[in-house]
Amino acid sequence: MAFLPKYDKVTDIEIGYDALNHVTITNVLYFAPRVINPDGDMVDPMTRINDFNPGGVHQNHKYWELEFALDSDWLTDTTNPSTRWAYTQQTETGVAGSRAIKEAADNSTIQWFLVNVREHDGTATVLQYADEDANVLMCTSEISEFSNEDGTPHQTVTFRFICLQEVVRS
Amino acid sequence: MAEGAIKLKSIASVTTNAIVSTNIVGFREEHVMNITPQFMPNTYQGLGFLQKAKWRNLVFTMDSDTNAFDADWGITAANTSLGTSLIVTFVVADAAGTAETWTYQFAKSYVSRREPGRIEDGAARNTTVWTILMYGTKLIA
Repeated sequence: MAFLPKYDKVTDIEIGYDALNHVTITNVLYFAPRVINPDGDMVDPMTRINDFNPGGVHQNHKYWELEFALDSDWLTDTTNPSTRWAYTQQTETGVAGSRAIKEAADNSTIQWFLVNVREHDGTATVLQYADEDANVLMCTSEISEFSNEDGTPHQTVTFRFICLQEVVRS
Repeated sequence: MAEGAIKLKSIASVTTNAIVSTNIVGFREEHVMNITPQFMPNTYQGLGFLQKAKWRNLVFTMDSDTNAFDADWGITAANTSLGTSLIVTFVVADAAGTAETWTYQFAKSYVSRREPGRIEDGAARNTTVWTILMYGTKLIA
């Protein structure tokens, strides 16, 4: 069956360490995946010295750069403003102190990263970037932007991730 | 445990060196994480990540300027870390207009850039952009 999506909006994003243990973030303004391939998927064909004809091609490494923005952020305890999800949600199985972002230590890998998308006709599409595989998905940036200008629709926090494996659609 | 969104409405002020500046137009915090994927030659599956330093760039856009950094920044000497405080106060989008504060470790915060200000007759707004590089802790309350 052909995959012919017509995306409408992001319903929510699940981040944690498995299907039962994650935070479900619903105030998502956008989700944007893109492939990073520093010099293109393929660089120039490799020519032999003094040989006119290319001898083959060389392929570069690729990876996902995932980005989403929230309005304004998501708390794991709404009674405590310091419980930003990235600093409080466990992200590795069996590692209680694992976090997407750590202030003064290495970030943990994220073992559950799932984007629930609503299609224009109401059906759901799931984009899964991590499935309990270790060391393939990690948070790499957090940017908070606030404006006092009139008409500013949202005060946003944007998160960026690197993912080293294939996306699974369902 | 309850969970849910927090929605911030606006920036009330930035307090630096105990000087409260309320003429703030915009605030941007970049939490920079120096993390790069690792590959072996001639393989396509990534091996994992190399993590290096983390720091934050705090960008304040003022209408029109502030004297809050005068003690820490100058032309003829090296910049010093902020002296007594670095607090950004927000207004939460609730009925009570609750305040939320982001407190940065001022002793590890330095003025890293002052964008050229411009004073122009007829401009909608004359702004000055200050950037602070900080590598300490941030507390939210």
